[in-house]
Amino acid sequence: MSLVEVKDLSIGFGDHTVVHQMSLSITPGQRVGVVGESGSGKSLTALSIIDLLPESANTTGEIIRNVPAGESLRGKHIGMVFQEPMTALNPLMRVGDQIREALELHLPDIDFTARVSELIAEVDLPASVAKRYPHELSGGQRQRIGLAIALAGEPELLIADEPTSALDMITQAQIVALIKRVCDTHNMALLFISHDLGAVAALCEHVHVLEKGKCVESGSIETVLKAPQEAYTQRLIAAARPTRRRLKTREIGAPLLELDGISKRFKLPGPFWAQKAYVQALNDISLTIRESECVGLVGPSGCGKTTLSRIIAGLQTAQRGTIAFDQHTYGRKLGEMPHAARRELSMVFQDPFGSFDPRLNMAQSLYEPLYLMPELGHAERQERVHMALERVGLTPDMLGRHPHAFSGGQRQRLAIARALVLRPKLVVLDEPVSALDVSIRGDVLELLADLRENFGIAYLFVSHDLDVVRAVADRVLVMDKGEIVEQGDVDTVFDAPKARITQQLLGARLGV
Amino acid sequence: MIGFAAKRLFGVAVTLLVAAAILFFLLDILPGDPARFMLGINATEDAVAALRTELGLDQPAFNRFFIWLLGLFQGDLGISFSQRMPVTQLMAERLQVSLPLALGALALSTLIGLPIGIFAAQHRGKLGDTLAMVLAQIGIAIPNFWFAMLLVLAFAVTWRILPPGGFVPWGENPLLALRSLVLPTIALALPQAAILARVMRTSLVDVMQADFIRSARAKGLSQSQAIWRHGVRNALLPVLTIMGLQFAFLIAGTIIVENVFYLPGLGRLIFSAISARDLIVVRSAILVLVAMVILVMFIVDLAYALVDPRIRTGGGQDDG
Repeated sequence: MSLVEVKDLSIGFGDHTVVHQMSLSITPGQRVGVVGESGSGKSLTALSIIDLLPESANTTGEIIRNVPAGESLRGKHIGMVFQEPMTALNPLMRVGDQIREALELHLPDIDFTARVSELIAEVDLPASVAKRYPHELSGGQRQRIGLAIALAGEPELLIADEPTSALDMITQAQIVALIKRVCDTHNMALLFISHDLGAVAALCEHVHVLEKGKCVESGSIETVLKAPQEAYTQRLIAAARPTRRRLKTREIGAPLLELDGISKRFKLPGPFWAQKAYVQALNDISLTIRESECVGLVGPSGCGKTTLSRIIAGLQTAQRGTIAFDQHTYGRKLGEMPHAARRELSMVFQDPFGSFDPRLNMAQSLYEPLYLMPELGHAERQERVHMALERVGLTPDMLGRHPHAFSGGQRQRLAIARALVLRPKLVVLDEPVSALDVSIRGDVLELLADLRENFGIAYLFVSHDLDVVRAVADRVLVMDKGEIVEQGDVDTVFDAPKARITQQLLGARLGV
Repeated sequence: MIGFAAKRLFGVAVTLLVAAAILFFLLDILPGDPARFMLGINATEDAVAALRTELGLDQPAFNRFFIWLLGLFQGDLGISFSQRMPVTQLMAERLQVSLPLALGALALSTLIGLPIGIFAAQHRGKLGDTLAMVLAQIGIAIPNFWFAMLLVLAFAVTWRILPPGGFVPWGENPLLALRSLVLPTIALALPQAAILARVMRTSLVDVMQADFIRSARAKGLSQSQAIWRHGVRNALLPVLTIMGLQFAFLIAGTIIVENVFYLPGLGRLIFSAISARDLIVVRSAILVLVAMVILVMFIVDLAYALVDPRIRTGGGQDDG
């Protein structure tokens, strides 16, 4: 007998159908994965099973849940963990109280305080966490609390909607292992929603592949991964194993960017009369990037990757050390970076949705960097913008549109085009493909490789994804706690890692 | 939390000092001689000079400022030029009217505004929501002195259940005193209640989209349980800020409403002191108002920190 049986479920809003004729069943203790890209309808399917669809949604088809009449479905029979650890908990309530609330709803007449401690211990957190507020916990810790809340009602089915997508690699591997363990100890079934084939492969026995609201393929995880029948599944699997790209016609040139002894600390908040406390974000960083070289920068979250890339881009200052870039020196005062250096360096950010001003149209956004080159005439400006667009595979007729009219992949192309209008020598790429669906990732990486080949642009490629770094970078720098702990040729570093953090990062990979 | 409060208290002290200095020197450069004004046009130069010395007006501005400050610390706000009475005593009498009026209006606007806002948010897009928001729009649009006159017309002239104006001191008959404050309080409170209702609705509608409300529902709470247990408290954060700002408006609003209802409050005191060029009263009364507003902002800050644990810590700063 199935716990949940979904038959021919369609979900739509108004005339627009988002999920088409979806069918799936989950038996007790079974672990089922649903894989798909953003907008494929996988989250809506999950929400419909736990009966939390928005009111405006209309559904057809059938969902049979094996729940005794009169008992509450949510929390008691189905528990759910959500994607965003930052916003999924009430910020004003101690996390222990949030677990306790779930217990009080479903299990009257027990010692709540003791049970809260047991649940916190079960998700591998220290008991003192109960008294903390969500903002005092890391993303991974919050996700563990979310899991403890879901476990509180002792449900037979756990739905996890992208529970690891917002976490760094090491934490992701830990949470996946934890979910697997609690499912085993409680003999709980799992519905795991993810865009990440690796995570699904690590957890699930059975998988459904969704494309644009339709289930295109389903079966046991081994069969689907080894012998995918549908083109879409094959594309997903191929994209999860990025192809290696190296320079073919061009040689790596002379040193372009040299950092010497860069240190940076942040002041911790506190009353002005108290002793000042600091966090050392960067400690004595020295590195070199050569012309046309692609250097990967990896490390766990909080290791200082972003601070370092912001200092290189002149968006932040360092306390000590010097930056020599293309015969210019800067770094310790904000605004000190000379215009002549700024036009040789661009940056592409992780979030293609947040990095465009929503009120500017694309023409305004793309022409903006050219203020650094007042010597250019109108025709030359236009030529540069059009050429940049062409290089990223877009056409000038899109320039009148505003950011919301583009998809995530198109926006990241536009962000790259914006970085290219200056024809820079170095582009700092801060997690350029992390926010993109796997199938688009390949295109963007291909584009970056072509630009390097054709124009000799050097990259600093900041990423948490070791597979991507290995595919695109010539050299890699591994950072931990504000220091570069290991560096060298990608293959050498990844095949024979010496630093402990490199070994941990490599161990946390969830490959396909 | 203690550290947070101490830090803010220091800020309060500095703000007050700066406000006092600005107030003193601004009023000092105004043209017109209080001594001449008090003695009338026919006074001799000698008499005016004597009074100037008596009032200390012949001393340099800085000295007078520090004498005034010193007096403030001792609770001595000076002697009114026009009424020949200690300003402290004058203000104490007037505050007995104005303070209950402002606080009562704040309480009333909260009691009316917040429930309407919550109701509207819960029935978002339905008839109840539309009605509540139309009412709120009207409440915001109506000037409160005109609304005050309507109230007088209805409750005092037509139905004769409340006095149309004037004030019976608390010492004589507390019940009558209270009765004379009912209409002014309503007149002051309703427009503010309308603003609060709108802010509360918008804030709660936002919070209801939040992920943690969905998490609460997934836990097994019903929609209204989730709103009351998790939504309202989060939605109150922006409302608190507005309430603090409103208190400043309420105090300023008393000047108009006290004139309509003929109440002997702080507002009328300031009004008449300005016409009489009684700078000592104006200066001290305004400083008391400023102090009250700063104090309320301080209380709002503390309340914020109590409600929201994130405020107590805050993020790191660039040590450039």
